[in-house]
Amino acid sequence: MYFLLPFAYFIFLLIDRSQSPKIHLLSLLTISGLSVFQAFISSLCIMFIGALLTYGLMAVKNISRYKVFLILPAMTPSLFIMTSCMGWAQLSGFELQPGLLAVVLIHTLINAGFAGLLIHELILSRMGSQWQLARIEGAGRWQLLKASFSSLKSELLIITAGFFLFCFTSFSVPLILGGSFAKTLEVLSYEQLVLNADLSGAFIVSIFQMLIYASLFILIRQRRDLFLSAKQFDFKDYGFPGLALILTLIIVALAYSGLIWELPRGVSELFTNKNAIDLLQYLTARSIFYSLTSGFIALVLASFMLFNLGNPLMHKLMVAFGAISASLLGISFFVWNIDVQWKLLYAYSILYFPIAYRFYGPAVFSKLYGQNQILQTLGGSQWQNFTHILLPQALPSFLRLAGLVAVWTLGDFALSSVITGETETLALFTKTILSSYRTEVASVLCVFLLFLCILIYLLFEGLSYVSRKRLSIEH
Amino acid sequence: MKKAVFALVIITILFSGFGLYHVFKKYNRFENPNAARPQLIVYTHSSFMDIYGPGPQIEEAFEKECICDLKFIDAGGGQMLLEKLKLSPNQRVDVVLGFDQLILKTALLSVGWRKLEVPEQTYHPIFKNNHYKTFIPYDWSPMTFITRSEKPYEPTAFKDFINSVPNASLSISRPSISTPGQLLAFWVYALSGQSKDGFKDLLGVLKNKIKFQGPDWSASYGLFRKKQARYGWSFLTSLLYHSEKAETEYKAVPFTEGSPVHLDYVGIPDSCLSCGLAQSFVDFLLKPEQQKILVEKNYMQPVVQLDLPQLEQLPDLKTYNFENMDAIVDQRTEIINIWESIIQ
Repeated sequence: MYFLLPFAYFIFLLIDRSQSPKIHLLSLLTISGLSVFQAFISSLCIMFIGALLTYGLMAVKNISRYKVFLILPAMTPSLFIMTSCMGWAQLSGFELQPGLLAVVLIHTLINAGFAGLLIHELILSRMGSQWQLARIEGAGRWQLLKASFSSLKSELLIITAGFFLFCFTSFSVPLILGGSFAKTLEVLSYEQLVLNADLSGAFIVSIFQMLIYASLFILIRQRRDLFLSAKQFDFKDYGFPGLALILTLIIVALAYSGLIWELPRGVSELFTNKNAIDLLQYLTARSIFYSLTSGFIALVLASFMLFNLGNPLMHKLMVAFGAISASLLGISFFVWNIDVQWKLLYAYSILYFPIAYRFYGPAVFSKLYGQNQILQTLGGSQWQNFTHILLPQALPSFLRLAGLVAVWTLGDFALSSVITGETETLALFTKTILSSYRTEVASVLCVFLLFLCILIYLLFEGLSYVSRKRLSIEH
Repeated sequence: MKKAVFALVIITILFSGFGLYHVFKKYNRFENPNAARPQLIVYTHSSFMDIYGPGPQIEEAFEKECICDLKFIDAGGGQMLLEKLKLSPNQRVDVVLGFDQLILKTALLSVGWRKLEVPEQTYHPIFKNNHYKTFIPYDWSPMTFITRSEKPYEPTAFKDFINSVPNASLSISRPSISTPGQLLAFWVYALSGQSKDGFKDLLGVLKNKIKFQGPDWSASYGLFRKKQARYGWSFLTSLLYHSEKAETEYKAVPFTEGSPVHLDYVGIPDSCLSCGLAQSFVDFLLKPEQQKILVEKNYMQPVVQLDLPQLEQLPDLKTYNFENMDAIVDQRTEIINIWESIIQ
């Protein structure tokens, strides 16, 4: 109900207007096929580079110094990453033409770091003990890696599906660099709204998008939890020294060099405008408020899912719900006559919680479902089981989930700009600045936004770490 | 580690409190039942109302004159703005700023508008082309390709231009979702004699010359400014911005057929609450002082006769006169479908 309520009034409006969709079935099917193909190629590339990065991270003793840099591109507005990449392409004499290659490249740049961290954690948590044993037995590096990737096939497939979802529902990157061959259903939905005012068409595209993703989810079943042990292992011998550093430097340079060059001019232009400084202070406070509150709402929603652990259907529906169209969600909220603050908070939770849940929810669910069954059999009250046994185990993962939602909220402008016309957040302010000639000022604001994203990310990571230590989660 | 986390938590609580305070401060100010000043709600686009745009100065000057509260709201542009007006008829809006000429007919059919009174003063000839009683243009600019060049560009025919430029050298905004892009598509269609075959032939040549089709003007022009393309489809008045920044290498391409003109319009919907105040705002916007602000901050040309040194620096481009713009706009979907099928 929570996730479907905003659409109820919107569907009522559509029925009331009796507007027939203007979209052609052939066009819908063609773009669906192109979206799936692009997402498939992108997710494969992301996982490949992620696997290389994992190989490099094995040789690193303390990966925490890499974490922030690797996850940063996922928090950065994609326009800046695209512009930076195109600058490098031009320098190297390589033409980055719009199309499938450009979209795949940008998607890989944005997500490969995050993929590397996930795969690294997956291998260590699931295979850590076996690797220790294998090392004693004298197993070689390639033997271990080959065996690990074979036995973790289904888990790697789950992670790949998460990135598939991201690329499948991608909007900004295919909009700017996609051309016709790498268009997504999200772009098609937006075009229906903007060009034809075809709300029914946009709604149908959105439903189609969700159905495609839900079918994928049905095909991929998760048999066991992704991440287990929190123990630290030292596998420096099995990693490739220096590879993680090289790849991280490449990612950071490609993604951010375009921003850095424009900073001096942007800073001087920003600080000559007194109104800009006042507005910046005001918007920073509001942005952090929205971000932290969204994170808290995500934590509450995740806890609610956990409380209803005995109902696996709810979990499956949440995982399948990931592919909602941001444009349509924005319009659905726009027509509601409630205060913009509550609209934004509600909308952020609907858009970002399912995606974040996709990464952390299944692991928690599969780990605790069996426990919950036993507890219920033993006769414990649902509330007691939840507060004393289930939640302490799930809290570290839920805090990281909340952190993801908080960071995405901080950087959101696509959804917010449809819902509200007021400059409510720093990200929206950056977008309006981009719409005038001042791209240098926008670069400065983007760097500031990234800094805030890092702070928020570190906060939730820290809370997750502390909760894991305090609650002594060991397997 | 624990101390660091604790410190972060404290900072977070302080920021949250600060944020909450600002949220409710703003909430209370907007809902203040004791507010004596009348309010005027104006829907416009982001570049108008941002702190570098004309909005803040116009707001300050108007509020002093009317003793009222003027509030700008970013409603996006074009079709999205119209959809918002249609979907939320009870949402308060007194003035709509920023419609272009391509959407006016749809706007007239979708929503009710009040007849506007035009203040008596000397207007630019471009103003006289306005035949709408419910919409008034408040600024305008020819559209053309902007490039970086040491010398001014010689006038050229459009067909010669696209044949002479290198492949993958043009950055434009996508006609399916952007007004400048649509204007380009309609202009090319008109230049082809409004014939589908002629249009397809021209697009066949143009297709290889386009490097980027951005989602909007700011993305496509931004890519051009970052030297990702040699030519950017933009307003002639972009040169005003570059001149302000002492970027003298930017030049406009003059076309012998004439360049299409972009006009921004203002209208007052029937559902206005402060309708009298809304008409006062329209009159205010057309005053020479505010038109000067639009030149300096919105980087567009005024609709009134103004002697400004920066306007004299602009090249005097011939403007293209569409014989039957309404008929072309009626074929919007078909034209854009042809464009999308050829330009990939």
